[in-house]
Amino acid sequence: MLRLVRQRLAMLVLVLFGVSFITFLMSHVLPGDPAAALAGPHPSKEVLQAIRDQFGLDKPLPVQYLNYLNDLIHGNLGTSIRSQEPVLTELMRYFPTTLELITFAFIFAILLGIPLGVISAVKKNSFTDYVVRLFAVGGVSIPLFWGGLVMILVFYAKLGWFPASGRLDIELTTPETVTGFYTVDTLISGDTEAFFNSVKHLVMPAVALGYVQLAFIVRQVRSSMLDALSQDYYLTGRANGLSKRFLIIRYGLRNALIPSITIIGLSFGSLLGGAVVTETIFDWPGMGKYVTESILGRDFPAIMGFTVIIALAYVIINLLVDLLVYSLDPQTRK
Amino acid sequence: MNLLLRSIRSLIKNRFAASAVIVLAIVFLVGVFAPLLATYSPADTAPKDRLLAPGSLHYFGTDELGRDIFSRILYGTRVSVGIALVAILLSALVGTFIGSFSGFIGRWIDQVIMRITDVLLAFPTLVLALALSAALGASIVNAALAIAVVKLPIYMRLARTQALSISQSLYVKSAKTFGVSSGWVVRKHVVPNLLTPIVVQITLDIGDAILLIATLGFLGLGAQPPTAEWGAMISTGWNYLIDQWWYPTFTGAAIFITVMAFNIVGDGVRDLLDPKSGE
Amino acid sequence: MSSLIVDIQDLSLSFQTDGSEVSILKNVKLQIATGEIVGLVGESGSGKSVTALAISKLLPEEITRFTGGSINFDGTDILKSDEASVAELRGKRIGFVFQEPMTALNPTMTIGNQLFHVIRRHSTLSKDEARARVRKSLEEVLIFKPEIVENQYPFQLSGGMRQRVVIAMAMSANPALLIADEPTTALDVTVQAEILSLIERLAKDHGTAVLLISHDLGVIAKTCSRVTVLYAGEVVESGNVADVLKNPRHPYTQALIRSLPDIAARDRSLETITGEFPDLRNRPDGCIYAPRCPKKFEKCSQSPLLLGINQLHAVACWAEHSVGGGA
Repeated sequence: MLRLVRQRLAMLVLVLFGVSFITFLMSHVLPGDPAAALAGPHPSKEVLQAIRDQFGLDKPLPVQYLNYLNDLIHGNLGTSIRSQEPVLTELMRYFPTTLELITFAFIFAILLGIPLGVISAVKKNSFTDYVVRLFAVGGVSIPLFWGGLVMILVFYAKLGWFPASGRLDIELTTPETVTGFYTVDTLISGDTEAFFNSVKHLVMPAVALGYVQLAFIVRQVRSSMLDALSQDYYLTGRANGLSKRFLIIRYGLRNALIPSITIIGLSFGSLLGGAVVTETIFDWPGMGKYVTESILGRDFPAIMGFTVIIALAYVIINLLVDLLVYSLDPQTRK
Repeated sequence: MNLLLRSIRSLIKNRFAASAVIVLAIVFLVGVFAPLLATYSPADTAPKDRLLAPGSLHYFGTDELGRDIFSRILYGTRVSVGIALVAILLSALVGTFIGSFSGFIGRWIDQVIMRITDVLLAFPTLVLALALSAALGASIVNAALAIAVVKLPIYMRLARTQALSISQSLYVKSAKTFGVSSGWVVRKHVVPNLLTPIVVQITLDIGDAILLIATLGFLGLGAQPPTAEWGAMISTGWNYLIDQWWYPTFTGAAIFITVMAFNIVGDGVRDLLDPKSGE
Repeated sequence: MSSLIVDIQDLSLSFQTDGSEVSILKNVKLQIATGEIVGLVGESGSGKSVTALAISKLLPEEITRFTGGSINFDGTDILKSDEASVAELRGKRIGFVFQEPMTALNPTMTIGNQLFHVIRRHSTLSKDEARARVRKSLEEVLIFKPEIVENQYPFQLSGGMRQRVVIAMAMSANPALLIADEPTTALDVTVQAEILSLIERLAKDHGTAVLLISHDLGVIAKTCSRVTVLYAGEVVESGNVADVLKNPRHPYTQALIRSLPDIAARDRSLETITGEFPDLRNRPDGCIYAPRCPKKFEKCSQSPLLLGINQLHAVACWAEHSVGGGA
């Protein structure tokens, strides 16, 4: 186990090194004039020169890269053009908000996706199976932003069941920040009204964002479940008269999860991408909304800082998933 | 009874795939014949006809500048589907080339190329596409480039795996022993074996690419106004969601239906060409 | 003959795939008495495993169609029973051992747990009692360190050890019938004999009848009292092992015995059966073996019945019945 951790950490360093190189290319090389990109709209010549001097953009590229790397290691992701605040500070403020959204989206996707995948496999080629599969194809086909809009139209505008924006009704007091999750912080401060309100706000964005993941999970679980159900040991289990329920869960699902869990885990990281769209649609004040606003405001340092942080989070999440999978498989655990 | 049930099932199954193929055929025809089918020019503004509800004159209503949404969706097919196709084909071409090169050459070159794919895969797809288009500057061409780059590692890895197994497989080795020209080996064995999984991957990726194009357009990074691109249309349309629901709704439905058809056909093609991965 | 535990009469079934129908079994007749060890022989594709799986209705439901006959297990008409009541029999009254021990055990559950759940399923033992039974069962199949093995996962055991575990599970509820489908085929030669004698001893101790499926006549000769020979889903010959092996009456059985290497080595070269296996999508009329049979004559265009040539020996061959048969 320890060897694996060490191996993966070495890999992580290598990948992060590569990530920094790519973000460097994107911020210093790809834009025609990086100084113009950093300056925001309509800069004067003097401002541009000042930026070049400040960021050493006149220096040779390898020097620029080393400077860039040095900045990254010290947590310097640049300064936001719009707010003039350090990008890292801003992103860290929004991070828990995004994490809360993707966590709930993920929980929704798993809670619904695994049972649906199992049912679909167990009732292979039945009417139920076809409905579930169509539902799953829908999830990977629906434009996330449009799905969100339709939900707002139906569940907010027409039915009025759920709020369409923000994390909490304005008249309620924001809980004191402990974890940054409103659902947790409201409970800590004992404000049950705010707790239920925050859950209500989470429902639509989490479901919209989770649907894509749900679709992935259903397809993955279905196919590895079908695989498990056709294995010899499953027949042995049946021949030994074990109950159907027990067979499906302990003989089928337990084995189907080993190949599934990696893919499911990786889909958690990719929720970070979907969050950009979801947060914009549902006015969810997280990193995703921050980056769309940065795109509109031509706030280049903020976009690049976001990219670095997301890549970092994605790589770390995937590492954790890897280790989790490793610890679940008896074959590798011993 | 059993037999009846089974034939109904296979009919449904075929119907899924069959209707998806029909939808795709319609999408392609619409793309090609958009100028003939459109009832208005996609760019003609009519300030007094702004935000009209769907009716006999404007099937899907009009937008905030009085442009006919139905016609804009028809023209948008060319942009969204066309750009997605170009992006994926470009990605597949370049990725397959680099990947198979990497697999056949091996050694340190292979190592370096594979680490590059690791790094590219260290970003969530949408975030990398977003950052790339932001760096290149917001335009539809740059969005297509960004999508091609984002999809690159998939093709590189796929081609590499195939190239490795092909170059080590018996028939290529024996062909070499018999002194057959390498051009013949490539044409007769390598290309067909390499092509199948690549074609499967391409059909599976097109739907995703359409979604990415639309998403970038929606975020303001893809097609710029006044181009009739689906994502960009929804980007302005969603401001009118509550009172003029038809504006973003029909456009989104166009994306949804098209992508779904591509995905169902993609799954079908996979099951057909690559029975191992099917159910 | 003592009372029958299994009585299969004229069993016919087919598989349906993509609209085409393949006749797998035709008029199969097989009887097993309480406590008896019966062999079922045939080459691959002859329908041995299908017959075995049919007894506890383990065939894939979507494609299997029973077209005739009956299976009676200890008074229960299997084909007329619903899934729930057949499921009651599995593991409790009918134990199963499969060919491939490497894949027959759940890879993500410890040996002890797998046995534990089977034991709990078929008994009213408390958890502690069941745990104790797990050890006892493992000891019974000659696993000498059950306290270690029960905490291990299948991948940590050898093939022979795994097969012992599978046997322990199959025997854990004292079944009336143990179906062993090629239990030793996948094992090393040295282990084969151990597993066979283990099955033999357990069956005797528990009074369990055994249906031993094998393509290996040597295995059958050593272990069984009676044997049934299947060819292309039809019973061609059945009877006492000694009778059938020493005095085979059906040309197919004769050819099968001649093709055994140790017999052939003595005086002639190894024989193979000429001709092709019949196409079961269109099961031919008449004797199923006729196309390959050296003794075939006009009568063989009609299906022969499985008739007794004496009380203990029956054969489905016109040559036997019309020429010297009936003795």
